[in-house]
This record gives sequence, structure tokens and C-alpha cells, in this order.
Amino acid sequence: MRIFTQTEQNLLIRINNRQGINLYSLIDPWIEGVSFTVNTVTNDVTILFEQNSLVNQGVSLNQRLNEIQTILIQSVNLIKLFEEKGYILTFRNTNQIPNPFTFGIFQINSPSIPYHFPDSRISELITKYSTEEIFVTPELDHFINVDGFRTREMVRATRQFRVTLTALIVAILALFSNFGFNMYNAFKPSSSQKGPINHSDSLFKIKSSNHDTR
Amino acid sequence: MIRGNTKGLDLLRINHAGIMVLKDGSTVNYGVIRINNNREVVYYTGKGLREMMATNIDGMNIKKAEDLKHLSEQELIQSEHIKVTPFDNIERVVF
Repeated sequence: MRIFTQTEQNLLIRINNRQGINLYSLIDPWIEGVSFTVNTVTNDVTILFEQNSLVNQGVSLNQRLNEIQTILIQSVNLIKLFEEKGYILTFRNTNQIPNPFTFGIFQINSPSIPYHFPDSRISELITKYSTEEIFVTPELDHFINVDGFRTREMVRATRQFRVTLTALIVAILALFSNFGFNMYNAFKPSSSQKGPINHSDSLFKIKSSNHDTR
Repeated sequence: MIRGNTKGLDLLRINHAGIMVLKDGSTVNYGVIRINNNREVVYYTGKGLREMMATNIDGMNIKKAEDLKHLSEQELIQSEHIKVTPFDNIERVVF
């Protein structure tokens, strides 16, 4: 996995909080004045921008188009990524989907500007996830609230780094202790230097006696 | 029936379009026009959405859409571009 932008993190929080149980609910806060017509057979997606809404928001069509495309691309790719990684599951909750169908927030009677979504790969994902609901697993909650959007790989790497660092510190401490102990033994005054050599040592005697028997 | 007893009825807001399942088993596309007394929803049907929004940039479609926009609500109900459905007849709102 990868690092996530602030918008992507917001989308993930919405999914985890059950505010984004499907694609429409997920992107709901961003699509005022925009509708999507989806053809589930040809996988065509047409975006309609309400002209009045553009005027009220004070943005150009290109700006709004860029915003909507960005949020759409981020949303469907996030759902796909997290579905593949097992953080969420998706399922179709209804048997018959009207074709084509429309969703969004807009005034039908007001003039609108249609835009045909050009990328067929993204259109397919939009078509797929428009008709499916998102089921959240506890793994996603753990990812957001415990791991702080850090991937399993990052968490594992951090854990391994800590274990390695701890092992390294222990090894270095052991090395220094050993070195210190050896230095102490090397320089401490030995007991043999304090007194005279004891020639009546029993081992010496045995060796001497063995020598004598030859 | 009051709003909130059926799953997803809170999604039925003015100018919101989506899909809902009716108790007769059909799944319909809707575009909410208004809510009457918290008891029924008046909405553009899938046919209404398709024909009145004219997503194809085609002279014929645009003219037909403009003609439909000049019809009264009653006429649009008769032509099934608009429907009125009590909340009791809604199984759930998908989105």
C-alpha cells in the first residue's frame, strides 16, 4: 500500500463511520449541483453540471470538473484497493438495477452541462461501485484508529526495526560488560602476587610424585 | 408511516436522485421533487430523468426535454415522467 492524502483519509473515515455505505453516500458532500448518469451495460458515465450551481459556487466548469473527477477517481480506487486488501467487502444489495440510472444532487429543470467521462477503466469502476454497498471489516477500524493510516507493511517494518534495535542495544551492552569484566580481571591485583608461592600445593605434589616414579 | 421507519428514507431529499426498492419488488430510479406531509414522495421517474435531463447532446433530445419541462405536473404524472409514491409502498432506499 501507499501513503494517503488528506481527502483519501477523510473518505476512509466516512467509510469506517458508515457514512459512505455506497459510492453515492461516500461522495455526497462533494457533489452538490452534480448528477451522474450510469449505463451499466456499456459502462458509460455522464456527469451533468448544473449551471446555476456553478454560478452560485463561483467556480468555472473546468475547476468543478477537476474537483469531481478527482473525488471520483480517488473514491473508486480507494474502494478497489481496500477491497483487494480485505479491509472492506462490497456486495450488491438489489437484484434489478434500472439501466441507465441517475444519482446525484441537482435541479432537473435547470440548465445543465453534460460531460462524458473519458476513461473507460474508471467508468467501469464507477459503474461497479455505484450499484454495490460497502461492508466494513474490523481491520479498517484498526487501520484508521490504531495504526493511524499506516499500512500493515509499515507497522511490521516499524516493529521489526524496534526488535532489531533492542537486540542490538542488548548485544552492545553485553559486549561492553564483557569487555569491562575482562579489563577488570586483567588489571586487578592477583592474589598470587600478594603472598609467596605455595610449593606445597597438592597438584604439584602429585605431578612431582609421578615424575619420581619414572 | 413516518420517515425513519423504512431503511434509507432520510435519503429522500429535494433534488436528490438515486435508486429505491418498492414493496412490489420493483427497483426504480428517482429524482425527488418534494415530500408531501412526510407521507409520500413526488419524484421524477427513471423515464423522466432520462428524457428531461437530455444527457445526449443531440438536437432531438434537447427539444423533447425542453417540451417536457413546459408540461404541468399532472401531465407529467399521466405520461409517467413523474410519480407519487407513499412511504408505505417503499421497501428501502438503496441510495
